[in-house]
Amino acid sequence: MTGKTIHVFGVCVLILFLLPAPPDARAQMVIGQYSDEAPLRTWNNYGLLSALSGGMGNVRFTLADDAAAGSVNPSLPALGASFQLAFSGSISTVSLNRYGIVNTGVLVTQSDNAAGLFPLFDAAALTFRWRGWGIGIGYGPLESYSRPKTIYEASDAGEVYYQLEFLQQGLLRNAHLALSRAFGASVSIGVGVNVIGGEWEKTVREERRTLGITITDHKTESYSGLYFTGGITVRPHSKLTLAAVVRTPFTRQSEGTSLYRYVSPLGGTDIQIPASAANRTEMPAVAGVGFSYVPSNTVRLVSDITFFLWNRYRFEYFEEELERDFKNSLKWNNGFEFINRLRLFGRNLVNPMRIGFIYDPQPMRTPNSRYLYLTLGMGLTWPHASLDFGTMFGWESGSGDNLTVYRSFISLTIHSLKGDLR
Amino acid sequence: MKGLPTERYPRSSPRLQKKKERLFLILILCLPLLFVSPVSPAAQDYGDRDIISLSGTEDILSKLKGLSLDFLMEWKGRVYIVASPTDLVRLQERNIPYVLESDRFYRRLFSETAAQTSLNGAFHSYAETERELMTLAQDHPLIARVVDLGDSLEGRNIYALKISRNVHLDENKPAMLITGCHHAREWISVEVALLFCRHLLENDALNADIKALIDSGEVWVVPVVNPDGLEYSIHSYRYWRKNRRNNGTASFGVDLNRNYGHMWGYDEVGSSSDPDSEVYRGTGAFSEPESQAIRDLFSRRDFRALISYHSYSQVILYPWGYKHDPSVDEGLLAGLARQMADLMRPVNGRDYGVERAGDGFYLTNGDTTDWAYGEYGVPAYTIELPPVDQLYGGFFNSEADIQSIFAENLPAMLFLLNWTVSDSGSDLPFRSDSPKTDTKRKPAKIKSPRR
Ligand SMILES: [Zn+2]
Repeated sequence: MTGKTIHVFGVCVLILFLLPAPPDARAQMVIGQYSDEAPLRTWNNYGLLSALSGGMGNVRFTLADDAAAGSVNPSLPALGASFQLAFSGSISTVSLNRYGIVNTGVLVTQSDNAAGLFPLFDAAALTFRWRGWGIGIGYGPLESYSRPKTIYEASDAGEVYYQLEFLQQGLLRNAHLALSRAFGASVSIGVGVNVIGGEWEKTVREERRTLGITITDHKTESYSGLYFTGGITVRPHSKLTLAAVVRTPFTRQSEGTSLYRYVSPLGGTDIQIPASAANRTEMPAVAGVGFSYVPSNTVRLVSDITFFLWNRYRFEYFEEELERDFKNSLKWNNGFEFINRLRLFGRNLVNPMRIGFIYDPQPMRTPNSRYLYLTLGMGLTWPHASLDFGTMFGWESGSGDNLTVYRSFISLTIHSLKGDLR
Repeated sequence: MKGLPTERYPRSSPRLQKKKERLFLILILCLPLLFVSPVSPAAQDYGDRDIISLSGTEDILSKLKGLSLDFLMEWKGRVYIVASPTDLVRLQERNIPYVLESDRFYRRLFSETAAQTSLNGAFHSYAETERELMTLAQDHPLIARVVDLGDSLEGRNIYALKISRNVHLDENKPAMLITGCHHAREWISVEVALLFCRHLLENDALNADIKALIDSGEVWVVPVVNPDGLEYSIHSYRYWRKNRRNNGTASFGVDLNRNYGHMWGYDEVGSSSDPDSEVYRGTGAFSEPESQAIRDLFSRRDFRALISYHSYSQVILYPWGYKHDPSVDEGLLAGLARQMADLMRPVNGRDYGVERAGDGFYLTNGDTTDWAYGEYGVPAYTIELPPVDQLYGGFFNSEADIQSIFAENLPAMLFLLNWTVSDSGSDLPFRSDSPKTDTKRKPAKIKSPRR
């Protein structure tokens, strides 16, 4: 690549970051065809994401220079910079469609079914290395359960006589503490403890206004859970880093409440069916391997393969185990980085350019579907600070619905590196 | 981008190290604070008052004069009011329809009183129905047997409970069929069917009349014809009606009670060819495994009568449904229905209407009862359970009403069973007069919710 094409590439990434993908709206007069527990976008979620890895196919197992990567490979902090503190945020749009437990959803005729989420700077990660020991801590969103707000209205002579509303919001957050130990300069092992927590709320509400009837279905959940991670990173050669990681299976526990209610004041009717339950989701174990290959000063090739043991997935919801016919899935992340150097405001800056590809098969047997992602990213590194952008475009195939995902990340990292080499 | 980690990341000074350690400790201590709820309900306390909204039309507003209500705001043509219980009574007295909005503004506390229960409370889900049927059969092995009629689209079993003396023998006694839950949201129809099973089985040893019925007849009960829909109604959308057929056009579901093979698709009024419609009839008669299960069962036994339970409306319907005209057996069909209604009335004082489906109610083609009567000549009834209309709950019934609704239907079911096993039932088939083809009618728009 010449210097000029690289700048064009950088500008394109910035524009893409600012331009959310157009929603792929599909009309349907049926609500709720998206199971309550399904995460938005992919099911295959593991650890925190950042702009650095986001631009490079979300490859993380061997990226010691990504502070968030300690959440998936706890052995990385002992090999990273002596200090890194990163703040990240993302914006995302997703098109949803009709299938139950694919990432598909809900929809109505009158509005598009894209979910827009703008939780900028909702994640932070810190790594810290000292005398062969490394510590990583981090906090950020793991899964979103939010759906596009859906409203259907029927009116007569300008007055709405029927309204149906569907609202679902939810987020699972993850905090990790990773401890690692390096043995010499080329081997490190680490373990991590992770705490999850979050909230979920769904309301389906129908109003028949001429008769004064309200029908509501209101459910809430409040999540908690704990799991462990393990990792080993080896550098057999100055140009090669290898890693193996594991996540224990864990239970996402939740206190759930539900209320079905039918209120008709003119009939003196108020029927309520309340329920509460201790819900459980058995989340799958994860294992993965990855490598980074640095053939020259300016090029890095990275890849991760992650195995999700979905056939052990169980979902117990309000005293009932719901059937989920899941198969294991193998996700493949790949990235490429090219280091460009540029001079901006009188300073020499390192300007990595990144591209990536992800193959992400979903666990549902029916429909058998997968996301393919193309990712683009760039960074700007000063002494002690760097700014990264990453953008992912995902296209789903297999369900017949051609779902799309757009997600872009921004991360600001403060680090201990004085030089411009990163 | 090269070399060993020590080259890439130079070590820092001891003083900086101390600072970093302190920062690290602070961050660890702050970690729990980060678990902030993403869903933050507005915790405003309105005590016993509700927020309601009503139409902002002049007609309604004029009725509000003199009520001294606490107006909150006006939004999108609706007037929002903070109303006390007394205000609500006054509005009801003046027949002013309002919509309860409280749960949009603050949360009603209900979870403290809720027991650990399933979402559907005292109503039976698919799994709970399965357990109940197995338990009944285990407890009464000589007179009850669970029969799997086939699989639903999503692979659930469509169960029947056969109740008869020597239940494991095929004695080909005169049989009656009771079905529930063709329509997913009509939860009460499952309960009436299940309670009928329990009543017969538990009274076999106690009540000579019931013993005689079990001796001389067969009762087949299919409490959940549409298990996929029922589960969907419990878990995803309470008002779901159809089965869960993926129609391939971004819409789901076939109305099983428009999928039967007599006068199927007769016109666009009594069913619809539009997959998005609530009364979509499917791609062909008996295209759905759920209706096939009933068809196949019916063809194997000597059925003499049928009750298909639905809700709501509180009415007993008989064929024809596909057209306005009466059948040649109008007198017999209506007569039996009237006798059932007469037996039901004294139980709780609830009056069940008696109507020819296509005449007093609305036109339906491809429904269970037209098919059973049209093809087999047996008296077949759709009983729409309470409430009588939307004001009293529509497709919702309170858990407290399950028992009383069953109780008033019990004498009707026993009466028809008696009729089935008695001589009167042996004159079948009635003369079925329906032509196999008929001129198509013009489509019309459906307005009220279909039951
Ligand atoms: Zn019905």
